[in-house]
Amino acid sequence: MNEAWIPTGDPIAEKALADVTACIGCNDCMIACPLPQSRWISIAALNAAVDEPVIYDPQVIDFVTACTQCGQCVSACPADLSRADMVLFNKTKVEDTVPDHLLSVQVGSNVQLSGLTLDALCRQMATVPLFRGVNFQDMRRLLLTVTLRQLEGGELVCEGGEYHERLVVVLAGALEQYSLDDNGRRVVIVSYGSGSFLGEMGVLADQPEPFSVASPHVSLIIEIPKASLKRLMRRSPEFDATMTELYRRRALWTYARTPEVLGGLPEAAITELFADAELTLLQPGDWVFGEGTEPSHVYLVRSGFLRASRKLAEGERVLTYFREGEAFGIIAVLRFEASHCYSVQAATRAEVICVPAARFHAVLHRYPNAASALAQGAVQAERVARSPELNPAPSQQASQLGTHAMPLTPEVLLDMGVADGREVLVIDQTKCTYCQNCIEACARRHGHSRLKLQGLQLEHLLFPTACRHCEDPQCLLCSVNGIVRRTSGEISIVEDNCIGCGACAERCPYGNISLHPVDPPKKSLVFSLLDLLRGPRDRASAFSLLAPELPKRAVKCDLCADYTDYACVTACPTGAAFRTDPSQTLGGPDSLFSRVRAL
Amino acid sequence: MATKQSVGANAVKTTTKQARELGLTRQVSLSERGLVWGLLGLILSAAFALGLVLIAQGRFSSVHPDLWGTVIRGYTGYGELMGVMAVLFALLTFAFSLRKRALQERLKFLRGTMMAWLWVHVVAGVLTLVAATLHAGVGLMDYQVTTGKLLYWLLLWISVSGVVWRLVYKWIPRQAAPQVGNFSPAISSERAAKSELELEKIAAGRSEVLRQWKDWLLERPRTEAELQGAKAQFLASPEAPVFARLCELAASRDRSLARAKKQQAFISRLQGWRILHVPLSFLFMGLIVLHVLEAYDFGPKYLPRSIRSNTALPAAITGHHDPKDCGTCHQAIYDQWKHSMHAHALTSPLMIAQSNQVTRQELAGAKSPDPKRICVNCHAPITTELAQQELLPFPGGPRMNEGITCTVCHQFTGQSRIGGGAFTEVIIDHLDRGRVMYGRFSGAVGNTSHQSRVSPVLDKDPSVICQNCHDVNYDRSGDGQVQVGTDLVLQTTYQEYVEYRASGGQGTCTECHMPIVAGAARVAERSGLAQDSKAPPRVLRDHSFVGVDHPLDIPGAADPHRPMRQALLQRAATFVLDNIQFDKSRRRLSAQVEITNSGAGHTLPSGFAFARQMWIEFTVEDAATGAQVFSSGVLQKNTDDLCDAGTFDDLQSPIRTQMQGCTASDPQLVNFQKKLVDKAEVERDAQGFPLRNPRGELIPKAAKDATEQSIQRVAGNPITRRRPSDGQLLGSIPPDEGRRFSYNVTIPERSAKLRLKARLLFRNLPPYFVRDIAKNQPATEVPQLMPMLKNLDIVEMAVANGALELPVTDSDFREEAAPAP
Repeated sequence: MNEAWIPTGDPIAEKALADVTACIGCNDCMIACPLPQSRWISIAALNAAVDEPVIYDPQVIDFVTACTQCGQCVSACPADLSRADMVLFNKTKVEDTVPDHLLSVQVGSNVQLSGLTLDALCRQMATVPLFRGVNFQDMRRLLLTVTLRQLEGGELVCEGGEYHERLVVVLAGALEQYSLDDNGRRVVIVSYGSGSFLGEMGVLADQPEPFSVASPHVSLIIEIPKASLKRLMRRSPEFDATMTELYRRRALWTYARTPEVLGGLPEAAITELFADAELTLLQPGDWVFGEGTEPSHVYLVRSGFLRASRKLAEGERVLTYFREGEAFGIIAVLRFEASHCYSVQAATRAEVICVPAARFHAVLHRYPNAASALAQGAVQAERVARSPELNPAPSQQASQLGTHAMPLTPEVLLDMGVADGREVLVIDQTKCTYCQNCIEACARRHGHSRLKLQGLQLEHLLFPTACRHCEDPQCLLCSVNGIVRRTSGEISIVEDNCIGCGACAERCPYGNISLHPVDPPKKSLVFSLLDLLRGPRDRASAFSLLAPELPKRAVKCDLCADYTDYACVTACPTGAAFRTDPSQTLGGPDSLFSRVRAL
Repeated sequence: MATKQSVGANAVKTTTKQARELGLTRQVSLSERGLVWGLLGLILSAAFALGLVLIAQGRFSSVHPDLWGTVIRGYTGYGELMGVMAVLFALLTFAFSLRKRALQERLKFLRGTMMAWLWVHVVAGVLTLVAATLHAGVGLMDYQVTTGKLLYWLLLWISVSGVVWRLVYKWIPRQAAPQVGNFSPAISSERAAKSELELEKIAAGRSEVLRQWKDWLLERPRTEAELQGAKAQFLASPEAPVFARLCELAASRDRSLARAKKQQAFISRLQGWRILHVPLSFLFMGLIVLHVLEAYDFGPKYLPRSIRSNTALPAAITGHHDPKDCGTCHQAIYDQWKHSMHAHALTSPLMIAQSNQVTRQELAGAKSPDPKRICVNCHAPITTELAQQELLPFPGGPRMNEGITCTVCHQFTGQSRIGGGAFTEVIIDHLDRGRVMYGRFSGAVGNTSHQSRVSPVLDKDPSVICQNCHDVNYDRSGDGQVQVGTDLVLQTTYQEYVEYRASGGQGTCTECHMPIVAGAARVAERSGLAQDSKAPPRVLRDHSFVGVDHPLDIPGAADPHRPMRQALLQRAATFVLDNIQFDKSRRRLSAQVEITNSGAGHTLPSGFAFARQMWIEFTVEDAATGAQVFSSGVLQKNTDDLCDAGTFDDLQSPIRTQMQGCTASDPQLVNFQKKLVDKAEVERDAQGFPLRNPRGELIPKAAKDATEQSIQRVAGNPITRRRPSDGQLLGSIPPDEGRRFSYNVTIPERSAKLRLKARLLFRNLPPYFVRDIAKNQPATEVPQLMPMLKNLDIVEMAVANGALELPVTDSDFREEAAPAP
């Protein structure tokens, strides 16, 4: 074995080599692989390719190029090897054999040859501070996936509120981030010059771009897709650190610029306040602080829900919830209390900005006017949590409707993830007649029903298996862009990209993605009329007879993107089905979610 | 005891309140509210009802009494409007199903939500029922099975099932939600299966006893007491906690199974209505098409003749009404018609035989318009549509051989033309086939069987319709004009009637042949429930169509119309015997008979005058001995022939051999029968110019080698006979004209007193004529004519008596005979 070419210290290379030795050659991984290319090669060929400095076998090249790293092979391996890493190793080798060439550039909707070669662009990118520490090979692999764009004067990169999910680096010219004033005129917020970048929040935090971005003059930019960027972060620790720090800073910066936060504190005060603030990412169940611990920070909720509770004789009693835009722990710090009188725990995935108490005092000391306003706001925010009198225990701890349903409380809505959704389908069982119109309408519109009348049930409300279009979607980690968030926010399967690997379906915590044979061809009006006479089951079997070996595709609710209505809701004849945005609708004026979420 | 439902209802109330507080409710738009659509439905229903009230008050009668009168039926204006409304609402109701399925993605406008559409579906469905009720009107209240009534009953079932279904939609989910949560039996069964699997897993590898108890648990749901008993078995056993866990799992499995069963039961209760509602709706939509096609007489008007000729199909499809059906309500009229010559027009044996011979011999190979139908076109206009063959009788039973049926006059809306019935098929071409019957009365009462309208033909002078058939001729010259002499003119009855009217005649066809029936005031006296209300008093005319003919297949005396026939004939002529004189020197009696056509609006005889025998029977008798001194026109039997010289002395004529009862010709016979010859020409003067009679017509005469015929030859014509004794012209007598005939009799010496008797007699067919046709009839043809000859009936039209005392001396004397009464 000639191992001289193998880069030492590359964890993936080492793992791949070790796995080749451990592989028992059962080929189960290749059987599990959803790629059609997997049918033409065996694991032996892939193992053999690991030892080759350059891969020449065209079938192996085809396969590793197509591999999406979905991981289906990993779970299939009886020897507990991560064959995906081996393929990734081979994949990088194939990518590295790509010769230096002239890159294409997108101008408007056309593609032309640019004057830049791949290696030249690599060298130029190496000068961008963001990519400090990224080695040439990794940069080269990254650039194989990017889009080079030449923008005309005034051409839009993205609209404010859109999910762009690409990192944009300016190579030449400039970009401007702007908003519109009351008269519809553009007000430039920030101008990005050559070598600067934007869009990192979209990539790192799954957020929509807050403002529109356009090019004032002719510019040259590159757009790096999210998946490539994440891969680079795994490859290069230095780049990973840069991005994380960037994210923290940017998060604090944007947070500080939202006007409702921290009342009347001037910008200078906020900048000072956030100088040594920490951004903490919490998973559901993570504690912020416990009851009785010493107050050390004040906390600002950047995203998610946090639960405030107090220990009582009968157990933990939930007092209230803190949500985006709210702050907690301020009173305890202001009054120099010895200990917190309640605990705070993340109810969903949440981001909290922690400001050290000393810094907080220092800033307030300098801005006494703001201090009193801040204190007043804090008292109001923490009123329920700090109240010595407890609200009566929620009576609806048990369901009104018996054992098969959970009670309909804000807590359960949060715990079960309903509050994470943006457009949640709800079926009111006191109105549902099981006519199945919603399911049939969905099937009629999309070829297969993406909806099943089962799922979470809270009292008489059923939250069926229809995508919740989470704020923080876990399904989106698809390396072939088979599932994406549209610029308008819906999570949507891209049929042309999806290879039916099922990775997204496994990741969805609510089981809302399923795999179906690809849509049968559309039918004429006559056949649709004939459907009147045929049940859905017969129809399905008729089609399976016609095309017994259809490849599979992931299918999920995409909120009827490209349509003006939701097929399921429109089809409900009794008004049982409806969509709700929990962030908008949860709660009247006196309920837990009373305050409208800040922008 | 608080029932499960009331507890459930409270729970639903509480949870609904919670959901509302959390904002988890559907925002219902205005178009999705039942109240809005219900109100709209009420307003529309009220508008429909208002229309009904206005119609019932007769507010629109002036527009058109038949369409916008007070009759509420599907075929009147308002009824039709409601019918259209019902169909529109039915389509709108059905559109729900399309919107839900095929049109879900295709509908570009009015998409709405299915919530709104369900309300539209319900309200439009109820409005369909309202409109259908108003459309049908009183027509709903009889026992006749029609597509309309079938539709209405279907609609009633559909509406009831639909409304109940909607109520079920409202109430069942509220009961079901507290009991089963949702309607996913699959999930419950899955959960039960999981519990069972878990149970099996735990029990696997345990003791034999435990596994037996496991089977006991799975056998059926166990009561608490049973479980306690079973647990007691394990008190000392280390497997006690395991068994307790098994009990929990079994209970969970049983709960899931029970829930699945309950869910299924609720689903059945909610969706079971589909089984009734949906198939009935499909049936309804299909039947609507049939009903509309039927209502607008699609079958009778547009179906090809090949389908319509199937008499087994109902009249609604073929348009061929069975007169018997008409008779169910119009029984008196039907009974009159049944024995009429109109009813027998195609079953008359002579007609069958003669028509077949004409077809076979004379018109074989002739072109269109099919002259082979010349007889049938008038004798049975409707049957010409049905029958494919040319020879009579048509196969297919009585329905195929009905003559002039109700339809011929009461659905004919064309322009009557003299002789139009025969060649141009004017009747068939201008029938308004379908369910509309045309009569003389306006403002007819609504009824189940047909729509009534005023006939454009019968409206003013019903006589005009007779001209279609009661003038028979053949334009031999093809010049488009019919001229006596050059064309074959067989019957001119209507022409005669026209001339009669032109010269001041007041009578009409109906006056004699359809006299008013005394005492009758209803035309549909047996209608019963089929009529909406009792009709106002009507004048009923006799539909026996009494004439000179009688059906040959029954004995003349048995003809129920014989008294009417006799009365008609007796009214026709005045008959006088006078100028009885005796020339002593030559012992010669002379007497005169005068016959005047005083009662007919046409010549006497008319019709096929070559086949009508009106003659004078004249006898002179010795009053003392009773010995007959002289006779002319006396027949021994009704089947004996008159010894007409025109026939008997025509030695070349083959027809002569068919004469019976004659040994010599009767020179003084007065027989008005015309003579049908095979070759005719016109009378010319010495210079060769054609002569004309006082009416300006050419005068046909027999050609040199012409012989008498019993069937109509194209080259022939009927010609007038002459009396051999004095050369006087015979033939038909025009209206109000008289003829005077003299008889001269030589009296034997011994007679002293003479009795004179003159009778005017009528026989509709000459026996030799019938025999001649019968002779040429194939033996296989049915009916055979010859056996029916005996049914010939002779009717006495008038009698005149006279007497004469002869002088006992040889002196001259003269005595006037007193005219007989």
